[in-house]
Amino acid sequence: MSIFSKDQKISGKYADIVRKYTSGNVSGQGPEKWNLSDDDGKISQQFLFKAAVDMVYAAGWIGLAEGRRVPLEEVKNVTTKGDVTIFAGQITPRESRFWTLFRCMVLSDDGIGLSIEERVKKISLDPTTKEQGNDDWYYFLTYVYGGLEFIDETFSKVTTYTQLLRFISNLRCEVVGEDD
Amino acid sequence: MKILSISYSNFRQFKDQTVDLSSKDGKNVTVIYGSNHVGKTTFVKSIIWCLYPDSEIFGKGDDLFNKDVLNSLPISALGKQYEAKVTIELEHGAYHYLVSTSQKYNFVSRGSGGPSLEKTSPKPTQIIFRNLKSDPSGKADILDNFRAASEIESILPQDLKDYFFYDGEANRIDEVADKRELGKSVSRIMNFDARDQLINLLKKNGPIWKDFEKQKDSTSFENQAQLEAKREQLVSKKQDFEKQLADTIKDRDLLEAQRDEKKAQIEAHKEAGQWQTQRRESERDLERLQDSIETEMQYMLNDLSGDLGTVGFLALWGASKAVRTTGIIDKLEEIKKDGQVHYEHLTAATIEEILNNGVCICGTPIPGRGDIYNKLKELEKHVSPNDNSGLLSGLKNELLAFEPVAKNSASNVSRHLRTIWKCQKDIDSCRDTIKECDQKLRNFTGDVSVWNDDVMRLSTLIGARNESIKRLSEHDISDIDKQLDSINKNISSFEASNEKNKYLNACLECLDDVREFAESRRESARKSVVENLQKRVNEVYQYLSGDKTVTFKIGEANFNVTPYYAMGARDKKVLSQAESGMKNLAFVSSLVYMARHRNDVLRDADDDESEEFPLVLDAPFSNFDKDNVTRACQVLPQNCSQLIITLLDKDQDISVEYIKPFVSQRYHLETNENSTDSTFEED
Repeated sequence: MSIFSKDQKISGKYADIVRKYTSGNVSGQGPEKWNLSDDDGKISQQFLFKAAVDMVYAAGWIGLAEGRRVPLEEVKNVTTKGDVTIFAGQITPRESRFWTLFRCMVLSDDGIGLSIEERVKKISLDPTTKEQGNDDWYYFLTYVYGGLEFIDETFSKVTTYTQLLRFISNLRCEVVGEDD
Repeated sequence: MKILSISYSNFRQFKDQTVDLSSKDGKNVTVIYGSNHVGKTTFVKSIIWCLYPDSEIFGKGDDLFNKDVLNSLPISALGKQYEAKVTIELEHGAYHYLVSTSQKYNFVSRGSGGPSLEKTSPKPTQIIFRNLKSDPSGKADILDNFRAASEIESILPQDLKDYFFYDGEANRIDEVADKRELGKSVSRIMNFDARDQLINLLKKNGPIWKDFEKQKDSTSFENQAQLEAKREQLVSKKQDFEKQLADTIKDRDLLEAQRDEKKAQIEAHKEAGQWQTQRRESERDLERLQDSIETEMQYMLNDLSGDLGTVGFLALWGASKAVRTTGIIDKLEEIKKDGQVHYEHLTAATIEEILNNGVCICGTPIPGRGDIYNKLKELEKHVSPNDNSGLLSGLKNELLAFEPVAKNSASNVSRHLRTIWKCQKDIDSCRDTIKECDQKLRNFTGDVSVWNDDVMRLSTLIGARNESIKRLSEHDISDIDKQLDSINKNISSFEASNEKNKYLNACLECLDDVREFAESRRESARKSVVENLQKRVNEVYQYLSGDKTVTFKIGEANFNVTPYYAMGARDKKVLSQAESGMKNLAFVSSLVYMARHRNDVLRDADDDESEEFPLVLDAPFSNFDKDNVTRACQVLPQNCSQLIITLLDKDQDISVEYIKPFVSQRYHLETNENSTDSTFEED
């Protein structure tokens, strides 16, 4: 069974990061929410993502783009306290989107310990066992957690709307160039 | 009434003759004497026939046409028309009359039975020519038929003829006049009828009374009272409205003063007001801009996040960067170039799924369901080496698509950013304006907008008051005024009706007084008549008879003459024929006298006019002895204004000496030799 057609969990501090930057109904209680203040110093709660599934997806790409990964063993050992569940009902409709991300992770990862042929096979077939499925999910989370760390590190420093706008503007420039 | 002459034409035995009659004062007696059957009674009857053609005084069968004339008619006269006519010339009141009555005949046969006439009409014809005495040559009124009869009736009613055309031989009063008729007749002669008619007119519920009552408006008092009550209510209501109006005007004026004061205050701080307005507008703009930024920020965050349908900008930025930094595209190209193959591992579960669905995992339909061998053979074609190149090229295409999609998303983000920055710039401008306004207003503590609100509020209140004033003055009070006007008009009308009612009631009271007065006058008149008539009848009778043992009482109700005899005066208490005749002469002559002297008799009859009637006596002394005749000749001319008397030759001889002083005309009536005609020969 596909790893992207069933409930999955984000655990530990990464679950807290997800809660911090999402606005939707995210299971569990987080320590804090992301806040921004305006020019008058008025602070208001804000969000970067409407749903945990969208943040997980974005974090996967960002981790891959920034080369930020959490070691597999660390991922496996993350405490499960305060998990955020990504329900199958949310992830399945985005399954092909997640498969593309996963395939890109596997094919570009020369350190995965698999030949090209094996990597091609891996991205072509569903895991044949539950254990293989778990391993694939943990592998997927190495990038996702790295991306979450990057997001948190970056946006923890963004405390005002002005900073957010400036940051977004810079990202925009990265995509379209200075002239846009 | 005075009869001046009588003319005959072919009438009975009188053929063509005219008899002038005396009517002068003191010479008022006309005597016509003759032997029996010469025509004395016919003469009297001819007067009655002329005046009252319907009286049938000659009887239906009596032939009125002169026999000599009839006998002399030649055969050639057959079919011709003839008439027997009596014409009386008389005076009454202001008029001179010619009363002509004729019976017309057709000459129908002259055979062996002798000449014969036939009436052309069953009744005689009467025609009257009337002239004013003061204008005898003027055009005469011609009255015929009913009008002629009515005119004679007004001069001398037919009912009374027996008193004035008295047949002494028949003593007709006793014969024909019953007691009731006597009462009525005397009443007419004494003109009581007019009084009775007047009293009848004046009596309660009589025609005049009803006429007055009909003119009264019985509802006007009640209606006036109702309207006055309603008017009072309306006046009170109007006063309430007027007070309300005055209060509202006062209130409105007060509000206007307050508004004017506020306006002056606003005018005095016009500049501050403008700054305050500008500041308020800037604050509103500021608020709107902040709302816009917030909204735009949410749009932008939504674009950053993405959702089920759209991949967010953060993910796209990461993906496009990952595609660049990982070199995945190149890697995919290398895999393809190196001919890397992919062997499909068909697990039992995968095969079961393919067989159930009839579709391969690559999407190709697998036909021949039901034949497992054939299906597996078919499936072998799809699990041949190198069949995953499509997957890899599809992945490549997906990855390559990230960059343009990310750029597109970045454009959206740019739009949001520009909008937000523009709003921020505008916010700064608003803040500067507010700051400037605050600087200008630093010494001003009022709030012109509150004052403007006050003015608006006061204007609204004033408008409401003006509406109330308009409603009160133009509708409420005006409506009441209209109603009052209408009610006042109706009340005036009822007042006029009531005034008229009062007047009519006064008239009715007056009418009643007049009636009572007329009744009392009638009673006193009746008493006076009875008293005088009784006195005169007794005087005349006693003078005529020389007998004082009998007195006559006149009944008050019906004027009946009742004899009363002195105690022991007579053995047989019945009047002889002569006494009865004398009684009748006494009564008739007294009655004529009373009519002639009505004013004196009635004493109070201011409006009554005395009337003169002729007394025509046909052989009145037939049963009288000489003393009676001589006395009658002395007394009768004095009682009447005109006395026409027929006498037998013997009575004429006795009376001539005594009556002579009063006689103006005396005719000897005698039959012609060789003829049935009689002729009046004047002495």
